[in-house]
Amino acid sequence: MDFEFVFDFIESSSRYLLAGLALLIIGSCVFSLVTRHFGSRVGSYLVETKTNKKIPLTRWENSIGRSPTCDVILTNATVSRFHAVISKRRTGWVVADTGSRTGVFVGGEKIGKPVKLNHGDKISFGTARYEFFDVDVDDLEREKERARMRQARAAARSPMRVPTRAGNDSVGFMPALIDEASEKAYVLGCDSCIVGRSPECDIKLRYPTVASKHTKIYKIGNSWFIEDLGSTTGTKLNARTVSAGRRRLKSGDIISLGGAIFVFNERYKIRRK
Amino acid sequence: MATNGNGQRRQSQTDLMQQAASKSQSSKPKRHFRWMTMLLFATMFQLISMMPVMVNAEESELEIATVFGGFILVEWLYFICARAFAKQRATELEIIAFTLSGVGLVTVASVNPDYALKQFVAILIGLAAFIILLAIMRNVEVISALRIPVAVAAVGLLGVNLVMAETVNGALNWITLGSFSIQPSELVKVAFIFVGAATLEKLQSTQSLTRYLIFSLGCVGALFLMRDFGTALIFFSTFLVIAFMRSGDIKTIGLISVAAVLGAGLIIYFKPYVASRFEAYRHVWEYASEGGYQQTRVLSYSASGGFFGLGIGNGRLRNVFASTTDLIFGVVCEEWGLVVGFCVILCFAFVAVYALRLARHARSTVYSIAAVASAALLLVQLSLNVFGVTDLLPLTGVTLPFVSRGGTSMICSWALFAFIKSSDIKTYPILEKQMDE
Amino acid sequence: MNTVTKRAYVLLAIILAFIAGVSVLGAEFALKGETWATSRVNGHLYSGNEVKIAGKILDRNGVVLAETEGSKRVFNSDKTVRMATLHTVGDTYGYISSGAHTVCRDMLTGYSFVDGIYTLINTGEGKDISLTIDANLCAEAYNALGGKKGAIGVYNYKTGEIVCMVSAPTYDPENKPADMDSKDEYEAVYMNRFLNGLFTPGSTFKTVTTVAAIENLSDIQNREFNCTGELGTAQGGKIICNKTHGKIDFGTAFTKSCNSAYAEMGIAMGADTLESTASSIGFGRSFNVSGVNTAKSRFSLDGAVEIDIGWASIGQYTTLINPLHLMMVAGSVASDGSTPVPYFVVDKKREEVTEQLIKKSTASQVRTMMRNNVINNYGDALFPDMSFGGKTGTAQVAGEASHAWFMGFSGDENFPYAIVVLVENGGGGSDVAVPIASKVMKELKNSL
Repeated sequence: MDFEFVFDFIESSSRYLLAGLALLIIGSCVFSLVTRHFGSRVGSYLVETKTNKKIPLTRWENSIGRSPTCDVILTNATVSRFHAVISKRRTGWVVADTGSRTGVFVGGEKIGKPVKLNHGDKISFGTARYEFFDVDVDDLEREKERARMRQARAAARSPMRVPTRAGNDSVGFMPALIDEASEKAYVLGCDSCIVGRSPECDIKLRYPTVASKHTKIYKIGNSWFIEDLGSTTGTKLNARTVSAGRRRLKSGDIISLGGAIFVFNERYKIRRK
Repeated sequence: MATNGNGQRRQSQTDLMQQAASKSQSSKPKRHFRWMTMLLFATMFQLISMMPVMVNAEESELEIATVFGGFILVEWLYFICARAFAKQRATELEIIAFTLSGVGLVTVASVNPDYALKQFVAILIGLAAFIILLAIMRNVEVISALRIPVAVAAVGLLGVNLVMAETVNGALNWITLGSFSIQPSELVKVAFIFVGAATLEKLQSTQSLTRYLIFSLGCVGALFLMRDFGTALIFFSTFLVIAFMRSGDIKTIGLISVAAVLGAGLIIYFKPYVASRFEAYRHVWEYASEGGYQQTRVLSYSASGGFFGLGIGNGRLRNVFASTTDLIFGVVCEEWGLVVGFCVILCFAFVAVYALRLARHARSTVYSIAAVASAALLLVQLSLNVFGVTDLLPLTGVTLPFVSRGGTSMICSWALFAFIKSSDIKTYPILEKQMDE
Repeated sequence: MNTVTKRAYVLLAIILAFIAGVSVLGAEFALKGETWATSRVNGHLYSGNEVKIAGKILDRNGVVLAETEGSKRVFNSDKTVRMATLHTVGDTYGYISSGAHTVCRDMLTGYSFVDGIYTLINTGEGKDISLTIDANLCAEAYNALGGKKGAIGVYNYKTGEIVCMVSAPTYDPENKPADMDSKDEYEAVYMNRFLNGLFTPGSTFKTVTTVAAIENLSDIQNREFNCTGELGTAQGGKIICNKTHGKIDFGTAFTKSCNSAYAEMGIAMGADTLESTASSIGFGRSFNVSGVNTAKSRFSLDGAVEIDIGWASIGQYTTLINPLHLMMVAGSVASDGSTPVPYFVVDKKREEVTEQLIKKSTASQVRTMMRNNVINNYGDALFPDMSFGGKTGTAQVAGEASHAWFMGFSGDENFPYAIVVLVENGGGGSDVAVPIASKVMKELKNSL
């Protein structure tokens, strides 16, 4: 009897449920599909040997020729209207001659079948000479540095781990630089600290790319500032080069000293006796 | 020897835009498709819809229960395996495909329990075709190598069809092999797009359409001989889209279209029975017991259902001839409601928008052409079906993708979705990772 | 690759075309869904073309005229009531297109765009509808016709409610005669003569000519007509009068229904004036009566010579009138020249349209003339306590007996009803139609 009632209820409400669920499922799938982001970051470039002009190849398949419908338009008279296609395949970049009159040359040799292109290869379309560079190779380094910075920032935001010592420690806060790689903290004990490899420095670092007197971190009023001391490898604050003059520092800022990454923390928690 | 100034400016602009795009992306938290939640909702949807069918199944209850259980099991297996072994996160297309297939399976099983198992097997084969095609479509080289064999097979299949065809509903488009009957034209649809898609290198080396034109003419001509006008029209419009994508040659395509219209006119002139098949068009209510029988029933019963339907199993359109194939849109509207009915058809429009965006960012023109042609084919077929049974277009008797009963139609639908999905680099995490590193 | 991927926008055209198609489909469902769902192909509602399930149809007093028992449609238990109300209620097959079963099928099925006919299917009951007619009055009126073909209608000229509507021939829907199509006595049996019929008006049309004369002939009240029993015309031919009335004035001409005088008036005014008056009174127009579009009354003097104009002025020639329209004319004469458009379904949404068919001042003059006509010719005993006014008509029909007409109204503020009686080939208006009208009006008065 009660079962009947329950069943009736489900039966009468199921029509609304079905419509609602259909809207929900189809709606969210479709929304997700049409707002999909396509981060197709591919790229390589050709450099014209004569003028050193850089021509980016932004698509996976790039048509090269004199025709205005090509992706890369070359005006050289020996280039056919549809001369060649440079495409990115699973194995890497490939160039194919698409029936040009004057041919495609890679490393000085005329190609018949499609040929793989390597970073730095010389390539000619008719008499127009270029060099091919794979952006990805350059990008690789930059990408790695970016990844390290992301990690460092995440580490700086997480609670600091400090070796605990026995005894009646009192807790205090001091400004510090935290080495991203070793998580070692360099406490800034004075109001003006010189950072570098030299033993005279207030903060001594043992990185080969760090200059003997690399940078200065100092306090004016309640604010901290950073200034490059003319190092050859440079100082970067949040991936921007600190060229001339001082820059204000805040907690969580990423400092790169010739590639070594540090995070600045204004209130680093320490324990002292 | 300098590059064209104009061209360079354009290039640098796109460069800047890409940079801006990547910047704005990195600032936003990355959104992932919540496939598990959606799968749960889809399962809920399916269970609710299956309930009344099970209650009314009577003696075939066990078989129906097995089929429904199997369907849900396969669905879960697919998504879990796809996530675990193929690292698939963006599985929206599969959720849509399974939802639509589920609507079809439940409707078909409720009309006649004998159809249930066959339809389930069709979904399984469709899913297998989907997975195999995704694997094939990963590499441009594989596609290029398979193109000629597939073209030959397609023409051969249609030829065999012409010779040993069986007339079903006035069209000679079935081959019967034992207890299975297949509709080769549906399989050829897949081949048609597969053969039509080409890399930029290929497009640029062979500037003419001739070979593809001959292949297409063969297909469309064979279908005309089989008197399957609906499918011929689908092929022809897909051909126009592919030809345009390949060549951009509006003049030739215009000429071909004019020739086709003239040809169709001649056929109607010399074979008036062809035209008489369409005499009820836009006058279905005057021919309500003859040529407009199916359309008037679809309209009347669809409107009877209202937004939320009369309940699965409570409809009357199910008793009309071809209710589970051509008229299934009407059955869904009557029993599931207009909301579900319109969801089913509108989602294809959005899938097409997705295909369009994919085509713009694809990693080869093969994928651009395949995605656009698949979406176009689906939309044209959907239009002929839905607008055909509702008298906005002449009734030609084509199926509703994923929902209609029919094995080969189901395989074709899944395969077309595979073409679209393969254009998305997210489908192949290995490739995507390779790009990022 | 840019060039090729740009061509992908061809897909956008297809998508837009598809979305346009879906929108049209959606709009069609919204606009025509009701017609589609309630059409006879719908097996939920009809079985073999016959209405199966729907709500009840009730008269103004709640008497059931049609309802569903099980999945069968049954009508009122009384045979006379069934026959008298057949054209208003409609048959189950939809042959009678003006009946409630057809006109109100949307309401009877309870269709709504959002829910379709879900409620009807689930509960087995549609929405009940009430009609404005009084079933017993209709039965009385039908009996009064005495088996002759014809139409009777009575309505409240203040509110527009039709309280009585009868069309004959009719049949019993519970016991439909098998051989109706071949028999003369069932000629046009599916037509509601009252709403969709057109008949020669005869002398009842003199009310229209009277209106035209009052408004267009300035000396009409002082004019004198000399009736010699006939009226010769310029191009030859003559109009025959029913009597030789001698010298008479305008008022007497109306009371005596003098053909000579009215033909003279018509000829004096000319074709254009008559046509424009007729058109302002509602000739050539269709009225929407609860969803039924009435037949358009006809008055045309295209290429008419003097004698034609003369005949047309007394309601002959090619003139045809719809009985409901004539009833509206009677109603507007009674109430300062204006009348609401009549209706017979209580719940059906309708626009509150009031038609000003006659100028107010003219209407009051005609009203007096029609009142005098009853006092002088038939006597108030036929219409007690109603301040009744009216006009008879005997329309000559080629080769057959004349149509008997009567149009009239009660001048009583508290009893504002107008009536039209038509007996096809029934004979003289005063002999045949007036007694019927008297019977119906008395019955109506008693029932209130």
